[in-house]
Amino acid sequence: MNKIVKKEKVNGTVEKIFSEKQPQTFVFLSEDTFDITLQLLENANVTIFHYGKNTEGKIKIDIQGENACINYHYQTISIKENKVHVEVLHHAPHTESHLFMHGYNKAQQLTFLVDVSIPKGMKGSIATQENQIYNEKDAISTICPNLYIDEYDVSSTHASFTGPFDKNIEFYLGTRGLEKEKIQQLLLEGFLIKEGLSDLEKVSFFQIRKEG
Amino acid sequence: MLEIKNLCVETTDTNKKILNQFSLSIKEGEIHAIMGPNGTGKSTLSKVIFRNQDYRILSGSMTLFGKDLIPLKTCEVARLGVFLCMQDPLVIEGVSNSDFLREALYEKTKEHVSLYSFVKDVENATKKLEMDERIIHQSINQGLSGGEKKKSEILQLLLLKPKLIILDELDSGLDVDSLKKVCTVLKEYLKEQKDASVLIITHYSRILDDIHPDYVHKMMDGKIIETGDIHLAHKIEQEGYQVKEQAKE
Repeated sequence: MNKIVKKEKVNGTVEKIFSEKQPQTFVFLSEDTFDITLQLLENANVTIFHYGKNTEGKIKIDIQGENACINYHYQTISIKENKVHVEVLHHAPHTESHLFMHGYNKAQQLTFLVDVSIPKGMKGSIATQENQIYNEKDAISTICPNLYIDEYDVSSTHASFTGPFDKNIEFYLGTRGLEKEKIQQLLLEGFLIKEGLSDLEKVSFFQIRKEG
Repeated sequence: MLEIKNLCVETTDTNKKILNQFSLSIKEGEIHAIMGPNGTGKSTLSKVIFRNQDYRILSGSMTLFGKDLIPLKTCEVARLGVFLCMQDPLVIEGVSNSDFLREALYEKTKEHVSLYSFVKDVENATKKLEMDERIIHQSINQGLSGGEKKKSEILQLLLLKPKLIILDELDSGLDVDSLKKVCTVLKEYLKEQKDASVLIITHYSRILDDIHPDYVHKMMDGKIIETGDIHLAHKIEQEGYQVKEQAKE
């Protein structure tokens, strides 16, 4: 596990450039709207855990250098109408982007718009995205996973889910004596906070596959 | 301990009748086994005992230690001391065994379990089951093979110390050696907890040769049609469940 390099509040317009070759992990906390632009130069290897509380905004990740890699985790709890737009541009060959968007929509409307673009010539690139929103009963959630790929030699996957917690899981934990409220608390903690660690294992899988 | 009388159950979505006048009585310290073909309602029975809302009880009664199970929630049944070892345990990403088991122990005793005694209990249980004790910090069943998931279920059982154990096809997914190990651990548990009872749901007599049941029940079309001892299990293994078809002819 990478060491956390920096924990910071990220609200409003923010621009950052990453050039460090050693893997770096950052924690972003947003409590307001955000407009973030990240640039990754050659060999940069950046993991970001971005936590939002009823936030909305846009994050643009421009991968400019060869062999650069971004692991971006966004976790949010939403109680009003919120839209989060992630845009990733692979502007160099052999680059990687792994996006994990997790939301808990308690009320109203939450939208994840996730655009990843791999133009021609950016061979050997890998782009994965996993988007999940758990809904309360009356909430409406939308996920738009978009992959624009104009190169043959790439690897890419995407998965999306919106809906309530799996009632089979609630039953399983119920058979161990846990009340519904406690089950939801455990599942939310896992989904919004702890699942990031297992997500990093998934990234390792893709990296191993690439080397293989 | 567990008294089920003339229970009739249907699915809530399709109204399909699954249990039909089902009756079963399990006394303290007894081991019962239910064998039956696929789709006859064996696993449904375990879910109905745990008041799974996918099933609606139409008639009949179901009590545990004299307490009516029908109005209870799943968690309330569990807290009476019932444990269900699932046929296909679920993977729950992000929720560690440690987190949920400590919560489960708290719900059972309403006392916070000290970390020291919990760690000691985990050490003992994993040693018995020949498991890596680091599993306790992993997400529930994540990355485990079918057999390892079953062992993980038994690990939970040893920590939660139930009075009524329901083993739903424990033997599926376990290799011969692992099954023997798990059965040995279960027998040790039953020696320590003399009042604990077991309901084994299975297709094969192999597990019953290790954990000797007091009663073997043959279940067809949602009810028990024959009761005997281990010899009935061997007879079923040899002859199958063809009695019904023969009777029709």
